[in-house]
Amino acid sequence: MDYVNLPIPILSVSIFLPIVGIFFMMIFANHENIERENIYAKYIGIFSACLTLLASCYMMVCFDYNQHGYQFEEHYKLAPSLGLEYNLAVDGISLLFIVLTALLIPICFFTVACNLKEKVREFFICFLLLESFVIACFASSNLLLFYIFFEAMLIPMYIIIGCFGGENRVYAAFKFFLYTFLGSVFFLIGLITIYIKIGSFDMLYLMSHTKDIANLVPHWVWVGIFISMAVKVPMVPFHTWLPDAHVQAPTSGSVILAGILLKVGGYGMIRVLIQIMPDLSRYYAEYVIYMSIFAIIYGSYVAMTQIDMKKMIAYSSVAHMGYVTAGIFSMNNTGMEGALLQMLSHGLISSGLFLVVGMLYERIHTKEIAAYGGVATRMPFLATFFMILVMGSVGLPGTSGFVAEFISLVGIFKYNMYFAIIAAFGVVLGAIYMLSLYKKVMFGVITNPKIQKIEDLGLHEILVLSVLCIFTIIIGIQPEYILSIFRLGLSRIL
Amino acid sequence: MNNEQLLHDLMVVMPELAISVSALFGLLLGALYGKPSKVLAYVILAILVILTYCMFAFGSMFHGSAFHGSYSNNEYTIVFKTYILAGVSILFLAYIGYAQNNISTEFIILILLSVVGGCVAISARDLIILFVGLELQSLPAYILAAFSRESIKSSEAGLKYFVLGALSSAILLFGSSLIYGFTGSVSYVDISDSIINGANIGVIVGISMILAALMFKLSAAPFHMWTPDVYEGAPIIVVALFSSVQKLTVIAVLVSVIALTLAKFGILFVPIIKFLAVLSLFVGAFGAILQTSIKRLMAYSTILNSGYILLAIVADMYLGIWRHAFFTYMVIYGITTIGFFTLLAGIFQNKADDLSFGDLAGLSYNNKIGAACLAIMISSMIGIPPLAGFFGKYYVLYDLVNIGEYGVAILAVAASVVAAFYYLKIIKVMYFDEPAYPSITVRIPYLIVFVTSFAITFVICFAQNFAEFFNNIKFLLCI
Repeated sequence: MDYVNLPIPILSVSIFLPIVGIFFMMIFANHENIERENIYAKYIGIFSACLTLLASCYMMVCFDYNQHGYQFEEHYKLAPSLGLEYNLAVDGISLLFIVLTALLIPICFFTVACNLKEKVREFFICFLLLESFVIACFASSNLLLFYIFFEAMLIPMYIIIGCFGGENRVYAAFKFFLYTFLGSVFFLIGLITIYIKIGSFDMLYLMSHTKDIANLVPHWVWVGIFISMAVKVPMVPFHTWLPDAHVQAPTSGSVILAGILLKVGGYGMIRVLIQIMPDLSRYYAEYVIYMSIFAIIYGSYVAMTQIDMKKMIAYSSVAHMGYVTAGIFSMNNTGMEGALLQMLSHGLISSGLFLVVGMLYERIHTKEIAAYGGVATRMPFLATFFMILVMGSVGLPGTSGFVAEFISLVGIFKYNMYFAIIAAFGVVLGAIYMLSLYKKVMFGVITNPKIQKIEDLGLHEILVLSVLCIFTIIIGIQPEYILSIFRLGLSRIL
Repeated sequence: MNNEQLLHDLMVVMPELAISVSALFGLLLGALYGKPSKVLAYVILAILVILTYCMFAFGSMFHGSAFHGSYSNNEYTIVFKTYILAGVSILFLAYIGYAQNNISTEFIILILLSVVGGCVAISARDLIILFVGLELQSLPAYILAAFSRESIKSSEAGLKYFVLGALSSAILLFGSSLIYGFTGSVSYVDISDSIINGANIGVIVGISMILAALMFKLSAAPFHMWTPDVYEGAPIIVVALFSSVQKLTVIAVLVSVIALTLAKFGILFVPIIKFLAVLSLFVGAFGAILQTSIKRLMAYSTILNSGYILLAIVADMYLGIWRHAFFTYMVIYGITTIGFFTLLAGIFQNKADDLSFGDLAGLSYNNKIGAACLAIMISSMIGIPPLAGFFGKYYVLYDLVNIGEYGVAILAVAASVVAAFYYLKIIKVMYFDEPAYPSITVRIPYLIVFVTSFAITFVICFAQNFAEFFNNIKFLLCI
């Protein structure tokens, strides 16, 4: 195999650009005048995030779309005695997630740039750190390295929720941290077991030894790793941290949480469970699909009863991620493609929804649905974007949500027809709560006097939302381009 | 004993001699000049640094067995002594930075004597030397714990430590006398020879008693009761000493006693030590949850980490091969705690001895870099990769999984999740709470900055540079 050779190690560059940004921020964003300091911090933060986005775009341009294997490989030895090597590579599966990460971080920065007054430097440092870890997590082809970044994300996210969140943020931050930490320690023990039995953490090596793994590695390793991923996704019995974290997190924190961190769980399922332990995954697939279908139905029903907008979207995330896990464990190409597309589309749509809620919250200072009504007459721009995003979430043809849910349902159908029929009800339920949310917030008579004086979106808000909406629609109309990239990676798995 | 033999023996004990002589020299100077001087502290520091370097670079110079086999140095003891001396040098730096113009000669000398005792105990090859070494290590430690003369808590800490420490010494002596009664010898070799053809109940009971005394010094549950009180009362630099250098010493002694006297009977003690380890994990994890004093909290954290180290030792005893996990874990934990306490001492200066969560509130507003450094140390203690603490835990878990102890491994990680809760509380008060006091700018002494940045560098760069280094330390005892 010959690999694409770039003159620069583009993966390391996109991982370390945010870190360099942090260094610059620490050195240069020091000023006696706190306002000047904040402005410097903002400029440096946004600049480094944009550079990372550029780097990831460059990665997409240079990616060889005829190549099935890993590309842009980088190998450095860190601690060979541990099996820890700095191995980076991307394939069709991880490429788009890196781009999604690099896209969402500047979006977060643009939305907060004007409103943030306190602890600006901490905010940007946490987000840049998070960006670097997430990109490294998607790019690492060494299992221990993957784990390291998988776990390292917790501290910045903990500080984001705890520092910038709502009233009950401390509780939510602890819950988030301890849940995910508990999940990932099982992952660690599983990893060590794999290493002791097989003798390597290298993904390629492990992928070529799936038979040995199936024979040597005990079942609980699969279960342990599954639990850690299921907490991250989150699947239903492990999901209770999500609503709290979403409701308490600041808007940008919710965007990152829904848009990226949940995807790390799904990505890990494909990378670790399906790719390395396919036999065990096939063995347990049925149970996982049961859980996913339960998550779809349960998540939708719980979402219907919510009175808080963010909580409703959080539960809708649980339901939507149910399609992802069900698609992944339908163990066929179609389902897997659907799952990946659903992750991407959910990353765009739910981020957009959280942004919209955040914009409303900034103006009215409440997230309760009952406090709204008739916003559409005052905020036509916001209403339009909200409509597109809601339709995407519901799964209207022409948006990415439709394609993604459709393809994953086809995949589930291939696995078992009855599962698909039950899962399809989730689409209907989704329509019920999302449309009623839209109706209650946007239409009707204005009862809240604050809404009379509300102002429509500013330019930067329109810019941010239109980016997300345009991608939603483009993927909805022409999914083949994205799917063909995913297929490159999937062809090696199944 | 001819001259050649004497010279050889003196060469073996040279490091201890050098420290003792410099301690006595310091005592003399202190008595002569009355007012303690910074110069003295720096001179002793320089001696320590030179000695550390000699041990590191020309360690084999001191190898050999001395005084009729009752005292010996080999790769194992030299590695430990090097790290102990390095740790003490770092602590001296921190102390000089912290005390600034109030450096007290006694403090320095007591620490030196305690270190001599520790080094003697590590090299001991018979029970008498072991006892003498441990006593020499403990007696200055009791005084150090009570060093803040104005504080009632400190006196209480010293007294408590002394009474309970004396009890543990008594247990150690009783165990030794049992062993002597049953085998007629106090040397490690004779003890292990005497049980090679079948366990002798008297010897086994005696060894258990010695182990119990060592567990007391290691503050493993259920011998941990003294730890929180002593930590709360003792001056902060002393707490840093107790939780790093002293623990490292005790671990070295523990391992050499286990490896040399029990030999293949080590497997007999595996269930007991495993039980102690798991108990320590739980006491350490759950005991700390309701604590409000930072030092008490760190005491429980020490207990928890003793549990981890004992687990590593259990894995080694089970296999009969001494891997580096227990050593690496202790070094990582030691450096992290030294950095943590030193930084607290630097930020809070006079208030550092009596810190509660409330004092840390909103530190991120007043001292951004200090808070960030503390947060990094805490994250390392939680075991967040890629910081050093994670790799310490990784080595221990690796050894546990390697011998098939999955259940214990899961208990260990569960305990570290519980511990994460209270460690996170420190980050929480620093970052999420409003400042308790109006912003006061403190100038952190540059020595403390130096020590802290050393610790931070170690914690962050472990995977990149140090993991292989520790892995290469030869431990194929040799002890």
